[in-house]
Amino acid sequence: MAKVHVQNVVVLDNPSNFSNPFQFEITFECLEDLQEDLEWKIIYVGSAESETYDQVLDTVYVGPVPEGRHMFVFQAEPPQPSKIPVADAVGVTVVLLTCSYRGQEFIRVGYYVNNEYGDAELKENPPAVPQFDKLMRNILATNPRVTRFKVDWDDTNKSGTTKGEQVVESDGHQKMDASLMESMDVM
Amino acid sequence: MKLLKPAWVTHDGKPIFSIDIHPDGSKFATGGQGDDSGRVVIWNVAPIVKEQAEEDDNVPKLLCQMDNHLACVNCVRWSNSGQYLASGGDDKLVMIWQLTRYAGSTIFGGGGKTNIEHWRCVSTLRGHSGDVLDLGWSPDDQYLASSSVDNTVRIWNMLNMPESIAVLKGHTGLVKGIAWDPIGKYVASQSDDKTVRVWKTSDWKQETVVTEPFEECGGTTHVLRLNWSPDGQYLVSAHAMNGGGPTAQIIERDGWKTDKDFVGHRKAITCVSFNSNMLRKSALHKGTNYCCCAIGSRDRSLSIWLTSLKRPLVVIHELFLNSVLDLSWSRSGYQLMACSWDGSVAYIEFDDKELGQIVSVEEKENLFQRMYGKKSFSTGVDKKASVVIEDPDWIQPQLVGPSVPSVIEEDGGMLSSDSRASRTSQIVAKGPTDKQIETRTVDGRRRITPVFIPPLMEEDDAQSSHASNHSSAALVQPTFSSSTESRSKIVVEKRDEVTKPGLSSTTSTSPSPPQVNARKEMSNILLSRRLERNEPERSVVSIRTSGSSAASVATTGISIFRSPDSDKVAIAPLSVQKSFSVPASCGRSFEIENQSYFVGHKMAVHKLSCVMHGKVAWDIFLSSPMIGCAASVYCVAVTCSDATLHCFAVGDGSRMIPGIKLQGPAVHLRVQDHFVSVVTAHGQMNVWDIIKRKSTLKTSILSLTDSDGSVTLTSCTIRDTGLPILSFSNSKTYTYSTDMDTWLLLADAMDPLRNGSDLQGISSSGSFGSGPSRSSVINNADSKIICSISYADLKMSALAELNSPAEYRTWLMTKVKYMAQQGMEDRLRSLCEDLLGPVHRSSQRGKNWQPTILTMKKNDLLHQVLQVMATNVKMQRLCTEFQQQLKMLTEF
Repeated sequence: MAKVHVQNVVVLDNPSNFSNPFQFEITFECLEDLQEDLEWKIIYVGSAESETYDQVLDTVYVGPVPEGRHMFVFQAEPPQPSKIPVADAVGVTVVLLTCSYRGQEFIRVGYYVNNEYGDAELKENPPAVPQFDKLMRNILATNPRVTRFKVDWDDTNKSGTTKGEQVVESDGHQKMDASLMESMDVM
Repeated sequence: MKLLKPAWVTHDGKPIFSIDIHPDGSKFATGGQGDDSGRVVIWNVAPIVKEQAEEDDNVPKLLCQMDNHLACVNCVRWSNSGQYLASGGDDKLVMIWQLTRYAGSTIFGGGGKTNIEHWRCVSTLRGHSGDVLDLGWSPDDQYLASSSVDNTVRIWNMLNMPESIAVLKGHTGLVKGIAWDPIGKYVASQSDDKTVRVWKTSDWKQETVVTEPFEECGGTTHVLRLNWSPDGQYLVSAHAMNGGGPTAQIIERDGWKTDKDFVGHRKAITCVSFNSNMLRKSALHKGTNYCCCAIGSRDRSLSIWLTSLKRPLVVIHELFLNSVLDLSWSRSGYQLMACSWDGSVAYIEFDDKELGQIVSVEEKENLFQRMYGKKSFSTGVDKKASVVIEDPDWIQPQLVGPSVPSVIEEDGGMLSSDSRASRTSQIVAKGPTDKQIETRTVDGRRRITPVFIPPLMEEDDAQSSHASNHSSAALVQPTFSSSTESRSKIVVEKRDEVTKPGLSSTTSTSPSPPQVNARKEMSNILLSRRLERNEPERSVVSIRTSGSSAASVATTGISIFRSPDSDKVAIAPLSVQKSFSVPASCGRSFEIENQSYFVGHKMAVHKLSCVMHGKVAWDIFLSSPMIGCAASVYCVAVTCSDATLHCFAVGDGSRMIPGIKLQGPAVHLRVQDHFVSVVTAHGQMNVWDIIKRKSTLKTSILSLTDSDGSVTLTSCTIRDTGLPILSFSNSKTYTYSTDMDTWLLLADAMDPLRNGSDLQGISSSGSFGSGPSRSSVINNADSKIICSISYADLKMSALAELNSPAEYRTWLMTKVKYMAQQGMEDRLRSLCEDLLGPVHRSSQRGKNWQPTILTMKKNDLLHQVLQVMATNVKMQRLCTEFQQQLKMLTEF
């Protein structure tokens, strides 16, 4: 059973300028004292085409985590425009919030992100070279996609179980990403 | 019969493996498959029962969804008290759930579903090496049994979770069903190894194994949920075979005989569930009780049987599209729910014409008593079940409240104290509560210590949940996010520190020792209470008025009797002795020497001397020989053989009044302060106030004795009102009421009430120091408590008459203690209302209400009463209610 349950994530400062930092206020419950820190990441999916454009915006360790409910604000710098393919700068993409324990990811929260120009004229006729300073970012905060993975929470790494669970994990990833992307096409 | 298949009870179309209705009937739980986990859902019953509620958007349907099991949940079972929910699944785990008070919250990522109630996993029972298939709570909720594909049954100690106290090994196949004997003597299990085994709960050894009816069975069912009839006489198995057809085998408790079965289903029987009530056709048919049993099968149908009928009461075909997997009757007995592999549930409602009248709990208890010599465990549940503390203030009286040895039950006590201790620990903030602290790890990465959210206390299980309050749904605020907020309320504190990851590296939080201490402290308290209880009794009840100055009586054990042949009273009068001495206070003693000085022929005078510290203070002479003498600090009184009474001042021996002529020779003399009482041989009793020269009492005590003279007056005390308290050798104590012109019985040491109560050991000194006696005659705990209450009541009325506030208070608290222990909310309420008085001065009751009793302010008493009540957590609501009212009263 998962020892950590994410109870809520509030997206702060949204919508906002593309260049503003991402801020998530995360509430989670922990069923037992954790011996090690949780590792949270914010990943910006630069392009639906390839994972190579994923940018890890920030990684933060959260601890100590005793039994009980906790909350914190995770703030990360915006993605670097230079790493985003020109074709993907404007439009819908995804930002992922993940959490791992002992290097095993156990939850992944995905949000759709819509980047568009605030200026009506730019919206009509987007420039060939994206003007990131004029882009507005809107995270679809009301519709998070949550995927949970089985991980080994115990102190001792039992042989056998870990392997099986890793398989599940990677399956889960693909499913998650695929479903997000599918829905993106609809949008 | 009404049948309903609520479409909204669904695990998104996936199989529902288990269903169980909460004992209070307000909700039910389902267990099965979730998206990528096991899922337990708690549903509201109201929208099923009433169409109106179903259509009302304010009535929640889903109360809580728990996706914590890693794999499919095969069984969900409420404890008999309703406080816990146990769930077991393919992840080999059993989880124990309890309601907490976190406000409803959106299930994160749950597509907008909202949890109305928050059930929290309080314990995880690990031990099985395979999927858990069935669960069962023992009738007293002390144990949970779980059966697993690892071929074992495990018994868990629910008073000390997650302790596993026994592993029942013997089955050689998957164990697919568990059933407790309602008497609590056995637990039975059914397995794919084609056996039903019955285990003894005394030593967890196998009592018997039944194989014959199962020889032809194949392992075709997911579960084999067998069940025991509510009278304990029959165990009914799931899948058995008889003559090539599937049956539910009836196994008789008496000799484990297997010659009857339920026949008719076309495929294997998966689950059997008895109505927990016993039934009868109508009130006229006393003694002809029967049981009702529901049977579900892989053939997708459900049959209901009454043991009084040879054929089923009803068979419902094609109820589901796939195998029935679990059944649950409501405690009320007229509702049945079933769930199926096809992912749906069915609700069936009967009425008393179809099933019959429910046999009352008392009758059932009596039946149990007759059949098994003991009552079912289930009745004790309420008392034993630990109750949850709602308000942090409550922990205080719980820990240090006036010592109440008997409130905590021997075995139940451990539970409540443990859970209490753990709750105490929960309030300890385990981290910063107002800010998150940001530091850097050695390798330069950001590390955040999150804000700790102190939990609220857990809520009382059943009553206070959503269902009672429809508007609560509206109160639930979806905590789920929106982007409107631009800034978090959390303060981020960045520290220039380097921390190592891990729990051990905490720099800013206090570690857990406090909770260890709390636990230890609790067990110490408990231990000391146990010791106290084993202490021998120290004192016996006696009536004493406070403030009585020292006095002495010349005589003891006066016998008063009526001679049988005549109405004339013959009381042996005090005899004349040559000389005697009576000790008195302040180092004085009075010495009497009859015929001390002869003044003429056969004429003698008799001397009374007051001796102080060995020196004679004064001498006086009297004309008649003295037969009795008694003294107080003011006055010494002597009675003479000529039936006279003389009183002298202690200080100088001066005569206070002329000689009083008595109606007959005195048999008992008593002086207390300025009161002198005399009982004559005729049974006449007089009490005089010597200073005021008034008679305070003149009556007969003959009615208090019996005719054969076996009852003797053993002591006499005079109260400051001038009225006596008389104790007799038959252990009865009386006082006289001039207002009512009669003798009142104050106490009777031989009173069966007293012997039946717990209170033999209560001293009159006003403390609860001595514990209840163990040598009680009455075995029935309930009656004993009622006895104790009645006895305390008796005492209180006596003490009110005696005007003894301190003792009155003591007994009031004793009474309250027992009433609280017994959960007599109504009686306590009325008691508290009287002590509180009218809240509105104008109310009718207010006119007759006295703000004080025995000079004590009733409101002060109420305050103390509430403290005593606080020792039973179940009374907390009542307490809180009156505390608030009391507070209001004192504020205005």
